[in-house]
Amino acid sequence: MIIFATFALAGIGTYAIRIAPILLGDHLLSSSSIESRIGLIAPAVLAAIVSSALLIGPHGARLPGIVELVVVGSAFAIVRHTGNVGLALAIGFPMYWIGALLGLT
Amino acid sequence: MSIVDRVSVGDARVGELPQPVTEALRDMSPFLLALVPFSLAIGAASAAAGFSFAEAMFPVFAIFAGSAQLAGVESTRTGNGILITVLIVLLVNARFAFYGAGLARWFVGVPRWKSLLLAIPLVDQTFLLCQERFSEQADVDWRVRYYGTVTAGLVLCFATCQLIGFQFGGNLPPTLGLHLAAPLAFAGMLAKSTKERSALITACVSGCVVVVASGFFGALALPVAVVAGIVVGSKPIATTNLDIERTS
Repeated sequence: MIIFATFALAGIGTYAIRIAPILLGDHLLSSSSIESRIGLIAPAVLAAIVSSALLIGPHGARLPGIVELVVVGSAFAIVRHTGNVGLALAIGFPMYWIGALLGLT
Repeated sequence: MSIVDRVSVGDARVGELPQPVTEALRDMSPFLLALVPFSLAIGAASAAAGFSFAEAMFPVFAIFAGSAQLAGVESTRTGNGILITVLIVLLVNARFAFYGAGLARWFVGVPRWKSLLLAIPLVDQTFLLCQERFSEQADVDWRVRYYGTVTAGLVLCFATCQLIGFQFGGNLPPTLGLHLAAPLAFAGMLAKSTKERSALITACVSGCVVVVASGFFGALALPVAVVAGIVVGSKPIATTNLDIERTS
């Protein structure tokens, strides 16, 4: 029951966050500085999540596995070069599997 | 049905645009590909955390946000209470306020109740896809149909794969590397969203700060890093705006 309550509250809060600009739209959208920063939210969050996944363990900062670093770095570079987001996984996973087969993971 | 819709702005026809459903299906296919292993990983994490089937599937529809759900599952698993877990989820989802601002701008003229409904499933993928696509499509009906198709595809994929991940995730060998699904998917999205210098600076700062801040702020390191990244990354923008104002 606690899990349901937790995620129900989280869901209500998340929906409130989503609709806040719709209800307060005029105030938020009239600011050009806020509008400029909208585009920076996605890269900031994505970078923080990627960095957390690679560099933070259960007990704080850690050195990443070389295979993980190479795989994710390659995925980033390939998507940046091709513009195709799907290639990140399509190429990343096989690279990791090869690393695992070679005993590098 | 024709492959194209005739679109007009006001009374003037501005040309023929591809059908929104077709376009949406084509545009979101790489995102669906990325979502499959990520959703499988979330389902597997829910199973590993000891969630029942109903407990695992409830957040899918309650918050509909993969990274926040994963953060919430991890927080619950490590024994954090309701308040801390809810706070973590909300902080991870704080960016949705900016996505909501984008949504309000996309659907100008749509009844408010409809906008409030459209906001329910607003996530990273829909924002990134629509932000790019809607810059070239002005017709609101076209936008609503495109958005609806993207959302339906994401929900279906997200829920189905989590279900599969929950049922079978525990049996998959770790060498499959499902734990890399999220960083790989997000690295791909990151590569697409850092075309401009300010975005790249924001990402670098955010990525570094989250590691340093994790030692001081724990679970709050992520929102701290996001704010730091935006503050530093937006400086060139602020400077540019100032220069423009001075020039004018």
